[in-house]
Amino acid sequence: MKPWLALVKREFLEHRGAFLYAPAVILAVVSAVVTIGIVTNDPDFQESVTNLPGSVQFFEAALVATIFLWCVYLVIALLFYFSDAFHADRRNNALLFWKSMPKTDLEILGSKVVSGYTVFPLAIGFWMLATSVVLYIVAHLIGAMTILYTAPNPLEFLNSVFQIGVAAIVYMVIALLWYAPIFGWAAFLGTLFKRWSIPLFFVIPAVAVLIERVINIRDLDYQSKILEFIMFRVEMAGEEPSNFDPEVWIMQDKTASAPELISYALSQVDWMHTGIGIILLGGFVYLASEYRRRLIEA
Amino acid sequence: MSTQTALVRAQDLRKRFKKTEILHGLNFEIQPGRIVGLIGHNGAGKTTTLNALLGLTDCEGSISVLGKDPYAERAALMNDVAFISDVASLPRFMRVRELFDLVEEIHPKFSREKANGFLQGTDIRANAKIKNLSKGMVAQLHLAVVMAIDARLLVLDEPTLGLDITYRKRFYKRLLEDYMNEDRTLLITTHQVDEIEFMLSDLMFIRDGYLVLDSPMDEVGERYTQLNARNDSIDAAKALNPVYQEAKFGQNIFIFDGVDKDQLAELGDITIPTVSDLFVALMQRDNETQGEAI
Repeated sequence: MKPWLALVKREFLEHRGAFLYAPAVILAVVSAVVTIGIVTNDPDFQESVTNLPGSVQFFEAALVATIFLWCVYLVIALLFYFSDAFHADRRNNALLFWKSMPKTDLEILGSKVVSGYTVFPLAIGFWMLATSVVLYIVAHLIGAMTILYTAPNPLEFLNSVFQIGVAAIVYMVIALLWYAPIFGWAAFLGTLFKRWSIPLFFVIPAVAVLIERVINIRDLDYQSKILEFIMFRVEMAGEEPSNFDPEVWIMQDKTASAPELISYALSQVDWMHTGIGIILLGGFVYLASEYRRRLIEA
Repeated sequence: MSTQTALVRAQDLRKRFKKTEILHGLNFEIQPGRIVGLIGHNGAGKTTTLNALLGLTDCEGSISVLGKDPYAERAALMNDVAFISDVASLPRFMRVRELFDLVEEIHPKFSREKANGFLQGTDIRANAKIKNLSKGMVAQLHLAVVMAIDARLLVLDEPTLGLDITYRKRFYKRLLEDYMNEDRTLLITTHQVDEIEFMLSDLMFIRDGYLVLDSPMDEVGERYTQLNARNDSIDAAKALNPVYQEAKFGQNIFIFDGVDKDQLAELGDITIPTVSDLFVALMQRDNETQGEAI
């Protein structure tokens, strides 16, 4: 267990920029911009505030929206992480050092996947929590500027963060499992093509769709099966977080309930395809490790 | 030499890249407790041989290190084998302290105490980032990490490449005084043959993928003789089939393989050739027009 923890720690040290420093900068900049916007009392902003019916619901809607944005950030950052981490040892010339350690290539690459599914989402989770605090401060700031809005009290705040936070963890796990084959594909390409993996990540499926089109050139009602499948995997099956509508949330008469959100999320999961995706991730990582095993040069 | 206790055993070791064969059926053994120098020109096959031995590349024939197939069991083998293939290969994003933390957790035979001891007297600080260290300091650090691993076989591939003479001398001194003992085996390749000659117990010359010499150092002294022939003995010396001959600064230098020393002593002054002289003598290609015109 200790070696695995050490390898995960190594990954965190090497890639913390995207999951620790960059989110800190983003949060700081957005917080500053929002605060300046409120303090300078933008008329449009005040108008939108005066139309708000709920206080806790408004806070929750904003929290859900920011958590959703952090999830999008996490998925994109992980995509780049997987495409980079699987060849980072070669880029920084440390491949031979790691090969001098009593760890197989599969273990080394496996530790990168474990990192991608543990410490990095945890780091983003930390920023989600930090964002909720910032939002709470912003809610109080708005409450201080207009009598039409009252910020949630501390208990309401904690309850909202807990309910939405727990649900967010489940959503995040589902999303990361659902996108497993996409991460695996990026990692596999990274192992083979290093920095070209990101362009190829898009080019290879595009060429496959093009070939499919050429083969079916006589089919006037042509619909690309490959593209359909890709879109199916990119847009999460069933529940689509992008369908979240803040106005609907604000107008509802109840606050967030983790059990309701979680049971809905779980009911929407296509478990068979999720399972296939996880197996595909395993397959990609195994193939990448076998390629790396045969590799000496950087 | 007993084959029962051999630490490394290679039989008919061959390696090809596409259609080009790089190693042409090497056969050798390395016994425990020896310091072996693997010497050869650039492209002779030294690194390929080491890579095969360390399980970094597959090859034809058979190779066994500590009774294991290195390619199939590299990770397990690395519990008892340490190597430096490139002194610039330490993870540059880490601090020295983080590197020690990591290796301590990953390698069961790494001693942090020893590693710290090896760094005493250097300018390397625990909080220093590896990317900010000089090349010499990175080499010192890498050697400290490797020497702090209680390995039975240490493999060093050009460990002092690009380092200045002061550091190179210190490097080898430390290796001998602080690391080597009768239970440990060292396999080293370098271009600076003269610098490691004093510490070698065995010598292997590799030329164009062939092993042209594999011998303990004391047998090298018995087998090879360097003759500075008198002018009136040159023809007689040539008649004894020298492996190498050269005229320099008015001297007629010959190197012989297996010729009776008493017989040679009658033709001039005899000495034991240095490793670098022997290297020059044995590394001459039969056909000097290697390569192709560009």
